[in-house]
Amino acid sequence: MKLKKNHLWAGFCLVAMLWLMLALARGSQSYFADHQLALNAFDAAEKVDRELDQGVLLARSLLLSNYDALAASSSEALQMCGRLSLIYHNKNESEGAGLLRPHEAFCAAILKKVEFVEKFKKKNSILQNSLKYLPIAIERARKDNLARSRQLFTVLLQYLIDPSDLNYHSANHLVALIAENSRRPGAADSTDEFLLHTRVVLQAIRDRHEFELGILNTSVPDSLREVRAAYLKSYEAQDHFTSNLRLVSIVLTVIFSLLLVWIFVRLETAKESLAALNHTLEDRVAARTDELNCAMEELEEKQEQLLHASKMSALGEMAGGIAHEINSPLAAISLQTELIANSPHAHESLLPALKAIEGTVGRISKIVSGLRRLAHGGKKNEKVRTNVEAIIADTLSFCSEKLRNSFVELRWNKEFGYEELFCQPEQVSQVLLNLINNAVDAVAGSQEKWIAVGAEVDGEWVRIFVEDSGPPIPEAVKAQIMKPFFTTKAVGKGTGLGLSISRNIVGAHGGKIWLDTDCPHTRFVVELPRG
Amino acid sequence: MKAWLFLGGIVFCIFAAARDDQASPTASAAEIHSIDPSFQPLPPPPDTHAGKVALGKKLFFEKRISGNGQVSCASCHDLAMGGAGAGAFSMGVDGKDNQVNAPTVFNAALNFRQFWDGRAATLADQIDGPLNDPNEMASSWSDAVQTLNADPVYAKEFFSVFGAPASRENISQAIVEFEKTLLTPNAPFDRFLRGDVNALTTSQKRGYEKFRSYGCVACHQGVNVGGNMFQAFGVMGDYFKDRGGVFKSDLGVFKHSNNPADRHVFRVPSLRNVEKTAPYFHDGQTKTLEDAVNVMGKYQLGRKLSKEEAADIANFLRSLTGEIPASVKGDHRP
Repeated sequence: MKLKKNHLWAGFCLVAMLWLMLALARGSQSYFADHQLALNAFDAAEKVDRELDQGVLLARSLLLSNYDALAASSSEALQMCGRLSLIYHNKNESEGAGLLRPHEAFCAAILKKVEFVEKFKKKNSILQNSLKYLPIAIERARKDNLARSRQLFTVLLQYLIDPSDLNYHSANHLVALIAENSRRPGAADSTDEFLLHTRVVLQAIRDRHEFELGILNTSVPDSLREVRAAYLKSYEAQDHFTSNLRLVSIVLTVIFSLLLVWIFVRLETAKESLAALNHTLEDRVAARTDELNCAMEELEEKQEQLLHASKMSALGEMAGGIAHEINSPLAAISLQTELIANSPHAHESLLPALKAIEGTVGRISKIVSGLRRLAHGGKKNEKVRTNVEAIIADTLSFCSEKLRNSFVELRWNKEFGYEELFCQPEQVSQVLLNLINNAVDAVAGSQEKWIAVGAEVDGEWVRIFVEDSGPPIPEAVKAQIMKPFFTTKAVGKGTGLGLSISRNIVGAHGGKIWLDTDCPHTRFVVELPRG
Repeated sequence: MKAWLFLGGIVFCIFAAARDDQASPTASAAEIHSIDPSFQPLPPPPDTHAGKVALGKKLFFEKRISGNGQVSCASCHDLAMGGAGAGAFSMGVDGKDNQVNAPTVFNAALNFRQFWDGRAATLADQIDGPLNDPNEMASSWSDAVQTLNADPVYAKEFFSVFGAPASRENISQAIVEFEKTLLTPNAPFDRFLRGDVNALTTSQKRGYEKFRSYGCVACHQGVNVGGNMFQAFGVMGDYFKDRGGVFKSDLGVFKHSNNPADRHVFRVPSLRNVEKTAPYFHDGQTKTLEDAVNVMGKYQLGRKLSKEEAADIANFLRSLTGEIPASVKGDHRP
């Protein structure tokens, strides 16, 4: 739920940022492009206005060969108004209102100017045409009008240079005189033609001058300056607003990006902790499984031990019974043997045999009593003080026969035999018996067969060891030998419980059992506290 | 400064006048050939968009955009007839008279204003006039746009050329693009201006000299030999009084300016292809080129022209007939 919310936020931030950046980029781009267009349009308007002035000046001096350029300028000027108004359309209404008045003034001025220019062109052409013709017309005029006509032409030229009313009137006066004269009979047609052209020239100069003044008086440059100033003012206001907007947008963008980063960091940490949680969970499950496995093993071991114990107790009872049953006949055999030996009728030659019987009976009774001790050991659970030698001897009494039969040499180091232990001797014997039995099996295939038994003392500890000449235990096996049900023996021969039970017994005594890996031979060590 | 320019102008003018006067009809070729910057040869056609030109041409001949579906641009601006109508007045829908002689569409792109009265500043603006005029096409933009968009062929063409359906703007744009190609290059006079002294006949050369010295050039000048200024019709006399009758179109610029000084003021027409655009003047009342030259001489120049002079000038004007542009070669009124 939390993660989902974060994702939503991240998405929102991203969209908002992109939108802001896009709006900013597009807004400012078109905005600056518009501004550049506006500036260009103002420059173009100024240029056109200048071209009109130059064209008119050239035409006025009769230096312009044709009006193509001037016509192009006037067409351009006509479109200037519309072109500039496009710029205001891009502005919003309140700013447009400030621009509208100067713009309209500019449009009116430029239209007026174009109108004047066109009128000027019109009159200028006529003037140019008639001025050319006048000298020819004068020569064709009547003789009596010739002097006056020449005088009139001079006045016309003066009027052309100085379009004052005085010149105009004196020209008109001469025109009237010539006209008067030409009305007399015999006047030539060419005088009329001369007068017609003179009147046209007079009117054209007058009109042209008026249009020139009109062109001069149009306020195109002033109104253009005003429009430009108004535009720049509104632009600055807008620019101020835009730069503020830009600042706000940048700040917002930064905030959003920081938020985004924060959200991603949070998402990342959440992801990591989740992964870690998963990991520990796995570990814990594994640990718990191990524990469970261990518990299961323990349980199985305990069950097996229970079974073993009940077997042992049954064996013990049986052994007890057998021992009892054997002891009575043994006692009888011993008594009878003693009687025969002590009998006067006994032949001297029988004595060694009788002695042998007595020894054998002694051994049997020893075994039986050992059997009884072993059988009852599991039950009694009582610790007694005993010494190492007694325990080893007790143990060996069960297996010395087996050792002999297997041709295994026993090397009993009796040093520290006097060391005392406080323990359950039967159980310790069982441990040692286990180890010796294993050792016998281990050396079975070896050339040199021996088993060494002995003890060492290390501080508060007594270490009883069982060493054999068998092959070393493989590495893979070493780690598992103490585990219950692990065995290398053939099926039916071993239970795999020997060492496991031994470990438990030694553990119950507060000691340890281990395989001494420092020793070149196979050497098991049982460490028990000193008594 | 101004005064000096003034003086210079006057001196120049006087010298020019004196020289013109001495120029005899038998002036040497070298003298005639002295380049007169009053004229310019026709420029090569501008770069145009082929798709727009093709579409514009189709629209130029399209009758369905008119009110009764029977008048196209080409009905009055007959490309086979010098780009103008054969009659005095062009005939609009249902045979209505338009009271004005159709100006030629050839080289119209080089005119500084459109219409006789120059009320349209651009070719695109010009289209509005005949389309909406009840005496001409008697249609409207909305009708024309609707008609074109209803035609799947046109709809497809507009999409391929403009990427949009037909609109007032792109219809105008296409037609204007077509009109820009309607230049008539390589008139004998153009070849003459480029240095081919033999491009004009002797009579035409004499006419050229008269054209310049008598002052026709004062108004008919520049690249289009006209079409770059306004002028009053009847500077040296009252043409309208002498002609008689009243036509609405006689008012000229006054019609839209309402300024009395603009009465009878017209845009000076181009003289290119004038040979092909009879009858003459806005009222179409003058049948021959020689008569037209005489009318101009009398009312504009205040001179009586001899028969020979008028003939020479008319012959010179015939040297202004150019080649039919490549984009409409072989096209006839549909």
